[in-house]
Amino acid sequence: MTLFHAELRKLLTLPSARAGLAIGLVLPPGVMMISAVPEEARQDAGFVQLTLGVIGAIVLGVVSTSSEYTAEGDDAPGGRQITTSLTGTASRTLFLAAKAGALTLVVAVLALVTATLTLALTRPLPDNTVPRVVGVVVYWTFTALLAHGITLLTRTGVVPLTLLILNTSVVSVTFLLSKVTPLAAYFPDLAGSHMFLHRIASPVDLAPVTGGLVMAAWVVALLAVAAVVVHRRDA
Amino acid sequence: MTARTVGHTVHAELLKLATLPSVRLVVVATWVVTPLLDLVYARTATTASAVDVGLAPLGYSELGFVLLGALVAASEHDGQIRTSLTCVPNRVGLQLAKSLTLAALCLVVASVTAVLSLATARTARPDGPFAPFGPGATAIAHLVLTAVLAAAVATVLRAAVPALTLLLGYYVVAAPLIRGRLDLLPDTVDGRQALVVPACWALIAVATATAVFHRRDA
Repeated sequence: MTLFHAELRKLLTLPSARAGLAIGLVLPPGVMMISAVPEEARQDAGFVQLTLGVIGAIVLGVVSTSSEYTAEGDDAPGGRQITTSLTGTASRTLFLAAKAGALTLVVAVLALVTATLTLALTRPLPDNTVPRVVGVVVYWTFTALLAHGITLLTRTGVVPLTLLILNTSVVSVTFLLSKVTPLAAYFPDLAGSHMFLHRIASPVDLAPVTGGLVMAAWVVALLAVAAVVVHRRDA
Repeated sequence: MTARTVGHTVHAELLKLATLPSVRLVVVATWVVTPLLDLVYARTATTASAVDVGLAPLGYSELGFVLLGALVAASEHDGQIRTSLTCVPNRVGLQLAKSLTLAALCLVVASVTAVLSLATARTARPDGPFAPFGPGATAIAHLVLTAVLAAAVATVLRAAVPALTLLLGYYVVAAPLIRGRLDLLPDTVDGRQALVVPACWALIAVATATAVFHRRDA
């Protein structure tokens, strides 16, 4: 519990994490306000905008980990937060669990607040709002955990940030790949978006729960690999 | 600065650029991914001409140039800047030399990228007219200006991750949304004055970065 609290404080006091919170909170409602919703997109109104806000979750997932590995500057050459963190908690498993837990909590709350704000601006409200909001919360949380896992492997924020932000674009890389092979529908972002979007140009039509499970499998696999690597590697 | 110091400064900056591992990685990735995107695009956009197929992936390659500019500028602020300023105390001169060197490197990288992209597109779509030089040159200049702008932003922010969040957030997410509503955005490319607007943005960004760098503690 102390560990969890420590990780929560670290995450919430990082300036770049605050930027992530701001992006997640402002982007979807802001875009919703300036968007005109065409008739055929009505059933996904608000939810499409929420897919953009996932950038906030990505930033949170990346910086919560990349900040551990950033050199502290000239006053402590070569000093990194991770050495302090691991002195504080010798168990790397507990450390990783606390970090993922804090990230999950922050991103889930952020997603819930943003989804409520965005849908409050959406008229008329699409069908099945409540289960789909749950889908959004799960999607944001899983995306943040994926970002966290990739950053644990790379130990720098640049690679995951680029890959994942690039892939939230309107014509994403995975979307392009899905034009080449139907297997691309099982990429975490495409599969996961079935949890809350109805109109997806995807070669395979997954049920919301199936999409969520596919994404969960990616998260579990990635975090497992990351955990093993963090265990075996010099910090 | 005398002509001799300018030459030395540019040479030193060029050496730094040429030996940064992240630069090599981004350049290779850009050169590998762009032709692949050409092939995907040629397969999906069946009615587009060869030139259009060749130019479309450059919208993604643009992100490689954002990365290039941001990483180069941010690497300097990992402590290297103290050494650089000890050698070249003229801050305005140093900053301008940096922008110039980056632009020169990016000109080469962008030219290769555009040639690769257009050649792949022509191979994938061999029939129809093919006049790539005008639009190709515009695209190359645009990529160079993008890198210079990104470097200026990263110089102001002094770190790669915040700079990339801002820049990628703009280029990937915000720009496609607001492009139809606002004019004079940094990535505006159309019409006769195609490059005037991006060039003005790059100039403003370099001027701002130089002023900030001049006034602030390193």
